[in-house]
Amino acid sequence: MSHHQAATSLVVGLAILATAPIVWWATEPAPAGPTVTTVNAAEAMALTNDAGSSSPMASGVPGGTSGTAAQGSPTTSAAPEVQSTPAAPPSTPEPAPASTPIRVQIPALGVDSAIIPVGVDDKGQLEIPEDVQTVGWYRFGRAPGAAQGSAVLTGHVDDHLQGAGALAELGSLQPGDTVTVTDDAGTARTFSVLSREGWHKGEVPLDRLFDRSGDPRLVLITCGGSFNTSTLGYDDNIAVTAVPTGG
Amino acid sequence: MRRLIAATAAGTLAVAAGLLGATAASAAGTAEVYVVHGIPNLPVDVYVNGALTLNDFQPETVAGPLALPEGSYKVDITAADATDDSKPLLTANADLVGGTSVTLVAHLTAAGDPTITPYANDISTISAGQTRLVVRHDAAAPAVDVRAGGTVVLAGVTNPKEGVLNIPAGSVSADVVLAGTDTVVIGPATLDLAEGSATFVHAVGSAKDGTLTVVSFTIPGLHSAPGGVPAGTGPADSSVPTILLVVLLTIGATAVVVGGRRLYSERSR
Repeated sequence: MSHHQAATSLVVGLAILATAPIVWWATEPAPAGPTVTTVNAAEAMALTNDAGSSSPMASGVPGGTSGTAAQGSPTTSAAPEVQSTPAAPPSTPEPAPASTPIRVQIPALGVDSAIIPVGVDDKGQLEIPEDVQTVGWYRFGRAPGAAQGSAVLTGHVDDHLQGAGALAELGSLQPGDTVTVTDDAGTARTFSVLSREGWHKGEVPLDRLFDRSGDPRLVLITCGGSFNTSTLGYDDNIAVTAVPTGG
Repeated sequence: MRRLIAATAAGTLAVAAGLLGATAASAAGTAEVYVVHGIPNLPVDVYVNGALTLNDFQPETVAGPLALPEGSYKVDITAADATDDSKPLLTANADLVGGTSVTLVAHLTAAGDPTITPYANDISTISAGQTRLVVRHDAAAPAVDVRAGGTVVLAGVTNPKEGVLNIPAGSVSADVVLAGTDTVVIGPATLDLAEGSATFVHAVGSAKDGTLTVVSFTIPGLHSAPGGVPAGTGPADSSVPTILLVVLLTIGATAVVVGGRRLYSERSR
């Protein structure tokens, strides 16, 4: 090996060492979570009855027959006469949803996914389907097509084993784009995108997104923002709110 | 039954103001009251401040909720055939605080005497996915254990105490046994406990007379949102970048070492 060859070998070797991290960075898969620009947040907020605060007394309990005589003196207020009711069965759960959603289609994203019911995990957080191509419906909340409240759909934006999920491009939906949800009876309901919002995870208005009262609406939630490699999660949640088109 | 028992309802059932949102403003001065009839074989009339409120109220039923303005109330319970409240079987005074939920239970003491016991209903919000089960011992019976799925979940409940459980929503098979034994006195029954609801179960009647049963009601709408939406665990793991990195580092290092040694040996020659 000549002196010239040896010098070349040294220089080329150093160049390869220097470029290796760049190649590694360039080939590493990028997180799918988008950062969204907010659209129509105020319109989405207007759909809820009680912005942020919920009152069990007011929202959850059927009123008595006497109305709410505000500051009347107790001694002068006429006590209402009510019929005694038969003992309720040990529990009277809220009526089961009229239908269970099983399929969601979002033409603008090329999404056509199965839906499964989900609840909460052992930390009290929303349970997300393990399969990133499957969308979850929060079964404790409203069903799509309910007369009031928010029907919540969710899915992993991506997964470290499975790659990008069905809702990876959620943040690119535009107002007016359609989302169609079909239930187990075969009824298809179409919703029109109203708003697109994103928040840092500590600031997500969960009470509003999971509101069971207010105008009927469909809320799709996934992750967004930057991927935090220490927590192995995303910093943000993004949500799209859609309203029934009547179709 | 002829005895007149004066029971005083403690009305200091204040609920933290934070639980009352803006929409509760109109109801802030109102308390809701449930009435449970747990005395067997005794239809009654219930008078509130002298006004007939529950007419011919049947045993083992529940009435309500009555929305009553905040204040002090006198509740008189008479035989169902009484024409007024001049000869009450039981009398209770209740101080109702606005925004609270109360149950008045007419029942038998452990010894079998009729009485009225007021309870504050826990209507605080419930974590997502959970339900609340409240069991009250209002029967002429000794201490009991409440079991769910065969496991004791409330131990040694005595008349007129209550036990409160916040548990995952769903169906649960429950029964009531004499405390510390496997002697079933009520049940088993399958309870379908709905998410975000509180179910109040009252064990009433008399063990001696074989009239033990339960009277229950449910308060819905106590739900809350999940604590978060952990909807992403990051991009797909790929071994390609790491393999590329190792290969490039190896090639680079080899070239540097080979070239460097050659140059070094030339210099030292």
